[in-house]
Amino acid sequence: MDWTCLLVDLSGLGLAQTWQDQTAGHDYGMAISCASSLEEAQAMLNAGSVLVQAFFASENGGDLQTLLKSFQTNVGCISDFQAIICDEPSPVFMAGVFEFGIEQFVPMATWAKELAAVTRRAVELMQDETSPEFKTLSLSRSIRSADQGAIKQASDAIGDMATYDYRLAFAKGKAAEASGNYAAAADAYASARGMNKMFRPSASSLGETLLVTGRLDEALDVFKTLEKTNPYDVERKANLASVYVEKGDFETAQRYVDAAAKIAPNNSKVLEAQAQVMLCTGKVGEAFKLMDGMSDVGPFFAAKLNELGIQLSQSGKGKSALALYQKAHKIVRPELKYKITLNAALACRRLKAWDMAMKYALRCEKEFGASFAKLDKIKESIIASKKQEAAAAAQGAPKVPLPTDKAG
Amino acid sequence: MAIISPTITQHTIVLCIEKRERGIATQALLTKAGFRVVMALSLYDALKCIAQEMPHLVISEVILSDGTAGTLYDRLQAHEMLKKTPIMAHVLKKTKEELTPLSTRKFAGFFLGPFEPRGFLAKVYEVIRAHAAVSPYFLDAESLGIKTDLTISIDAAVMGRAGEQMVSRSGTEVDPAASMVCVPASPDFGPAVLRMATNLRSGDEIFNMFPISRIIGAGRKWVLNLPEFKIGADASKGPEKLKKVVFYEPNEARYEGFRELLKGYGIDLVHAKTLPMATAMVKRDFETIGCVYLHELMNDASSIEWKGVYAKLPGGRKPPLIVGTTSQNARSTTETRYLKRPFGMGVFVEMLQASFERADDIASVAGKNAATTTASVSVKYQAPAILIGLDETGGILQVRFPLLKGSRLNIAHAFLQTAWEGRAQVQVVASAPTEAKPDIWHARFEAIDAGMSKVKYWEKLAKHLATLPPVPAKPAA
Repeated sequence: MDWTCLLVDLSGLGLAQTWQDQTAGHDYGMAISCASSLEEAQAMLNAGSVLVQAFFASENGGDLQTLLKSFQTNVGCISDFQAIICDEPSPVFMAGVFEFGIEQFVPMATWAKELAAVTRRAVELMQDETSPEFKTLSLSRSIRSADQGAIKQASDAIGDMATYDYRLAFAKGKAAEASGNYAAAADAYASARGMNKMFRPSASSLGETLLVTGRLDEALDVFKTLEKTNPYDVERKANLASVYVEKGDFETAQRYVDAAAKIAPNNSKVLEAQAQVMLCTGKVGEAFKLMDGMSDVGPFFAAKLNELGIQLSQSGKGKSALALYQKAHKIVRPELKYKITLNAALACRRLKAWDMAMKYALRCEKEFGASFAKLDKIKESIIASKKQEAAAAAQGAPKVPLPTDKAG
Repeated sequence: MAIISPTITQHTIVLCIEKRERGIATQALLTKAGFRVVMALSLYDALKCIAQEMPHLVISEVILSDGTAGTLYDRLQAHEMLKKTPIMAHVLKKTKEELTPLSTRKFAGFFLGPFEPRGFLAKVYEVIRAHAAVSPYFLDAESLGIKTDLTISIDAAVMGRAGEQMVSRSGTEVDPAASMVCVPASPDFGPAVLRMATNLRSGDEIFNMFPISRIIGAGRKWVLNLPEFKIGADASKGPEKLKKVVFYEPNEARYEGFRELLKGYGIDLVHAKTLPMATAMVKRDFETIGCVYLHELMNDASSIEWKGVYAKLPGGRKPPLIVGTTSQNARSTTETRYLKRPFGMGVFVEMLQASFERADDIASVAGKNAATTTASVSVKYQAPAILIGLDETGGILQVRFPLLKGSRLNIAHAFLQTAWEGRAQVQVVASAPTEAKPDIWHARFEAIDAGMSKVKYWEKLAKHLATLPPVPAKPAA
C-alpha cells in the first residue's frame, strides 16, 4: 500500500507554497501531501491512503475537530500517527486535542525532521500485521465500509490483544457499536478506560454508549468526571444535555445546550442536542430544520430519529416518516444507515408501497453487507403481501390487512 | 557506514610541547572545548602517553626537548597499533630548523605561527573531523563482517505499584523517551512495553517508575495485580487534598489555563511569574510542595540562584523538578526531569503525578524491614540495537531512543561475548540523536572498567577480530 502523510494547514501559513521545499531531503518513507482547506483534507482522508496526519494549527477550531474525527473513522484512534505542529499550544488547545488522544506536538522549527520520524515509524508498524496499529486500521476500515462480515472478521483478528492493549479494546468497542451491540461496546470501552485512564476517547465513547443503552446515571458520572478535567469540550456539553433530556431535566439540558452553542453553534453534536431538546418539547418542525446542519450522527440520535419515524408511521403519517428517514439517512454514520433504511422499508410496507419497500429492503441488505434473518422475513412478507394484494385485486376481494410489525 | 553523531565521543588529545608554560593555555582551551587533554613535555613522555592513552589526536610542537615532531611521526608509523593516530604539528616559527622535520611526512594538519585560540581550535576541529571523528581505532561492524543486530538489556526487579506507577529497582536510570520491553524471568508472566520512565534515587539505589496507563503488551495482566504501596503524597495527605505544584510560567494566561484544567486532575498550581519568585517559594515551603515546574531554565543570574537554592535542599525530600525545554539533547536525571516543549496534556499530567512520589518513601518500602510486601519480579528491560562499530574502549550502538550516560547495559552478542571473555556488561558514556533522523540515537559505550588498560583491551579484541573470516568485497555499483 502506498501511504500518504497529510499536512493540513489550518493556520493560514501558506504551506501549500513552501511544504515541498521544507520536506525536501528528509526520508518520510511515504508520500507527502498538503491540504489547505477542510474539503481538500476530507477528500484525501476519504480516499483511503492517508496514514499520518499533521496539522499546522494553534486553536481547537471546528475544522480541526472534523478532521480529527474523520481520521478516527478512516484510520483509527491511533494518536501516534497524528501530530500538531505549533510552538506554544494554549492549555485549552492541548486539552481539546487530548480528547482525541493526541499528545504529539512538534515545534515549527524542526517539524520536517521530526515528522519524518513519525511517518517512518508508522510505515514500520504497518509492515507488521500483528501490530495493534495494523489491526486498528483494518478494523476501522471495515467499520467505515459498514460491511458487518468484514467488521466481524477484523474484530476477531484482534484476539485477546484487546485484553491488554487499550487501543484495541477501544477499536473493539467501535466494532461492537457498529454492529449494534451497545452492551458489548460499553464493556470494551470500560476495559480500555481501565487500562489507560488518560486515554480520553475511551471514556467519552463509554459515556455515549451508556447513554444509548439508557444507563443514564452511569453516563452522567462519566461525563461529569471528564467535564472537570476539560470544561471547554463542546461535544461533552452536548452529551450532558442529552443525558439531562433523557432524565427529563430540560432546564439543565437547555443550560448545557446553551453553553455548548455559545462555543460552537454549528457543531453537529450541539445541533443534535438542540434537536433532541426540541423533539422532547414538541418542536418537531424546528428540530427537522436543524438536521440539515448535522453530519456523522451517532447511534444515540440515530435511535431517536428511528423512534420518531416509527411513531409517525404507526400513527398513519407514513409519508412524514419516509421524509424523516430520508433526511436521517443522509446524516447518520455509514454503519447506522442500514437501520434507517430498514425502517424506511417497513414504513413503505405499511403504506403498501411494495416496490418501494422492496427497494429499501435491498438497499438495507447492501448497506449491512449481507442479509439477516429479520430482513429476510420482511422481504418475504413484502413479496407475499404484494402477491396477495394482486390476487385480491383480481378477485375483487377486500384489501390486504396491514402488517402487524411494530417497527417501521 | 552510518554517519555517527560527532558529539558522542569525548576525544583524547595528547599535547606535546617543549615548555609547560606554553601548554597551559592550550590545555585550558581544549579542556573547555570538551576534549580530554594529556600533556607531554618530551618526545619520550609523548610516546609513553600515546601508548597508554591511545589518543584520537596528537598535537605536537615541532621542536621538542629530546626530538622533533618528525621523530614522533616516524615512531608512531613504526607501531602497528598506533600508526593511525593523527598528528597535528604546531609550527611556531617558519625556520628551516622547524620546517625540515615536517617534510616527506604525512601529518594530519599544521598550525602555523604563535598560539591564537580561535584559529587553533578551528584547526583542531577540522583535523578531528577529517581524521578521527569517532576514533582512529574505530572499526565499522559491517565491514568487519560481524553481526550488527543485538539486544541490549538492563536487569531490574519490579517491586509493586505506587498509585498509577509501576515501580522497579535497577542499577541504572532509564530515559523518559525510551521504550523498552520488560521481560520477566518467569515464563508465567508476559512481556510488556514500558515507556515514560521517571527515575528516583535514594542513596545508591535507583528506582524506575513507569505510568501503568502507558504500559502495553500481555504483561499488563500481571502489572495490574502488583501490590500497592501506600506511600508518599497519597498516604500522608487525604484524597481530597490537591497536590501543590509551584508553576513558573511567565505567561499568566497560560498559567490560568493550566490551573483550571489541572484542578480536575487533583493538582493545585501555585503561580510564580518569575524564576526568583519560584526560588523564594521553594526555599520557604519546600516541605509542602509536591513538585516544581519551570517553563525554562537558562544560564542567567536568576537561574544560577535557583540552582544554588535547589541544590541546598535536603536530598530525598526536595520536591522534584520538571523543566520545560526545546532542546533535543536535554537528558533527564533523577533530580531534573526535562519535558520537551511543546508537550501534550497527558504527558504533562502523568509527569506531574509521577513527581509526587518521593525516593525516600519508595526506598523505605523497599528496605529490608519495611512493613509493605514487595513483589520482586525479576525482569530485564530489553530493546533491539544495532552495533555500528568498535573502538579502543568499547564501541557505538544505534538505538531507537536515548540511553542515559552511566547506564549499565547487558549486551547479547555472540562475537562480543567471546571477545570480552564472557563479560556482557557495558556502560554508556554518551548518546545523541543522529543529525538526519531525530528518532535514531547513537550511544557510545565502554566495555572496559576503570583501571583496565585500553591497550590490553584493544590488543585482545584485535586478536579476536583477526580470527574473523575476510569479508567479501561488495561489487561495484
